[in-house]
Amino acid sequence: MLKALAIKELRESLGIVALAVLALGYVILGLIGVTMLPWQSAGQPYFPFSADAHSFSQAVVLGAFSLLLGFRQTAWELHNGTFYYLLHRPLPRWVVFAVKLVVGTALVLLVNALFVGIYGWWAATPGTHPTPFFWSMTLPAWKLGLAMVPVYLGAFFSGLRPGQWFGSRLAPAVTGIAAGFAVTGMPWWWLSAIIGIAAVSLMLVGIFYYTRVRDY
Amino acid sequence: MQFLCDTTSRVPIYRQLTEQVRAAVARGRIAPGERLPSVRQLSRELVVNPNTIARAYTELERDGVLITQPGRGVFIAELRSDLTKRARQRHLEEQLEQLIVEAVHLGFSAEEFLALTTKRMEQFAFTSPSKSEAST
Amino acid sequence: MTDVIRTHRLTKHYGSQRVVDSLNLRIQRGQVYGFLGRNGAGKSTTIKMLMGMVQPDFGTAELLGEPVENLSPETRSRIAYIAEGHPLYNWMSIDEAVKFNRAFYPQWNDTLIEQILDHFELPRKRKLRRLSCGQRAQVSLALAVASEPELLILDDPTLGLDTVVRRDFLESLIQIIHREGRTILFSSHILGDVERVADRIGILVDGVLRVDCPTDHFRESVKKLVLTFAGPAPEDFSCPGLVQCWNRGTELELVLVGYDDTQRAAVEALGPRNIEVVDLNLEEAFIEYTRGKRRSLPLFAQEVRHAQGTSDQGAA
Repeated sequence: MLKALAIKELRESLGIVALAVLALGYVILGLIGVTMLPWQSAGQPYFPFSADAHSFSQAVVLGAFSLLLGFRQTAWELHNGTFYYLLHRPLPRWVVFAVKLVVGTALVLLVNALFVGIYGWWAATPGTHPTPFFWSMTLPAWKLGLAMVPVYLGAFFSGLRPGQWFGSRLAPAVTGIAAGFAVTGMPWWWLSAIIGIAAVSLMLVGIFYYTRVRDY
Repeated sequence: MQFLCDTTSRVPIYRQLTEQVRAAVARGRIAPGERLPSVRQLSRELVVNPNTIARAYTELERDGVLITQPGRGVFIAELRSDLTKRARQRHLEEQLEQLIVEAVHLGFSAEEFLALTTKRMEQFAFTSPSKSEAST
Repeated sequence: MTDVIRTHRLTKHYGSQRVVDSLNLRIQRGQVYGFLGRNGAGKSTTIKMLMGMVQPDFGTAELLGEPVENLSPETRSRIAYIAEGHPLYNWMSIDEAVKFNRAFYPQWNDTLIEQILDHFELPRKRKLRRLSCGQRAQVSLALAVASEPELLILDDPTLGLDTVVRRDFLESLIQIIHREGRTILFSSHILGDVERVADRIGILVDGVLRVDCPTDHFRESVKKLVLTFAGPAPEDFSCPGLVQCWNRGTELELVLVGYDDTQRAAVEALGPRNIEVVDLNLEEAFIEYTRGKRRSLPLFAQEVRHAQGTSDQGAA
């Protein structure tokens, strides 16, 4: 049962994942100095994981991916009426949503890991660029990935939240984005961790509350 | 025999079925002892709830048109009546009277009416006189 | 415990509008219940509340003896629910949809679903999004039936299907009825279908269950009377069980429920020249009944509950 559900969620996210992988590939190529379009000036590789340029591109792509994925998993099913089908399968409703969330979170982290892994692998290869590289330099990039979790959850929550007014429906997604910013922006790990955990717990409580009380 | 079911009709489905069986018996299209489709068969064929078919069969059985032989099926019964000859005659006369009133109002002569009746009667299977005497 | 579906004062508001109003519905095991009502009468909302998809504002509902707000997975697996429009995952092929669905049911009937899919000659490899409306409905029904449910709840399953496919669908439904002890609740707006298939009907008018009785009973007790008068017909008339009253110059048209001697006496007291009693078919009876002066509609329900019962003797 759980396997079938997880596979279904994966299959439905496939398109969005492919899109994100393409975009990240483009970002990586830009970062390592490969010219993509003929009119661009000759590529100048950035110092890996040290410039703001990379984290901005990474944040934009991952952020868009997380938002899309969250909405895809909830608003899409609501829109198509498939929740009536899905939620009547004989297992507790929270399990259905938990599988969605686990798959979604795993995908967000995995896509980020792919990015950091490939970019880091390039950076660790000798002779590619003139600066020293240590894997510890990738830590902020991993942190950015973790910061995407509240963004994803916020979108998931927004997609599920009933509400007449557009603004109030989007509130969780906006909160998620703000939490993501806060997590990446905080200079101390412990503060980021507190903000992140608090945001995630709040989102989860809200999500599981609405899955029970909302009208589908 | 061929059953029909018309949901736009003002006659309820079970009564459409009972009337069709009665008519088929009267016209001799189906003879006593012949077997009717089972409730399930007919239900599937007509796409009608089996309870509706069962209701029609039950009413026909109550009126003595059908008999159910458990395990074997549903059969057309021998024509018989529990009513006395006089009661049956009175019932028939009432029906006839209505018909004659209608005929008069429609401007038919007695001869025409009689001729028409005789002609139509050929299409039906009446019981032979001896049998009819016996059942009184 | 023979009530498979039971609701007690089930109520739902959308905004200030009361969509379902104090609904007391009881459906016995083995019954085929046709749920009727005009668009927006609250059929769909009622069904969604039964399935736990919509939370009632007031009242309770039970399916197979369990409160719907926390239906156990085990009980849910004994119930098949087809929502309006046959929602399924369109990116799946028929085979994939079967495989997905089978994962959830321990009592899945492989032979049965093979038979149904073969019977309808459905293209197994084709994606659901490329099927016709009718084929999707058939897949959806096949999936519902293959889990061997005791109770089927179908929300307007023939909506949007053409006549031929609808007939196929009804045939399948009849086959399901033949398997004993199955209870079916289905909503529909095609009265002919309901008359063929349902033992009992319920009619919702503005969220209120106005009619709840055996199908034939309803149709036989709604009568239209045309009274002809020598002079102008009286402006107004009232008696118990009156649904409609139209003045057409020298004629007065009445629609009555449960036409009986007291009503006849009341009508005759008006002194008409002629009284014509018109039988109605189910569709006409439904139309006359539901477009009336809503609030004053006579309730006729809850009688002869046990007289009818669910005679399975016929299906045996």
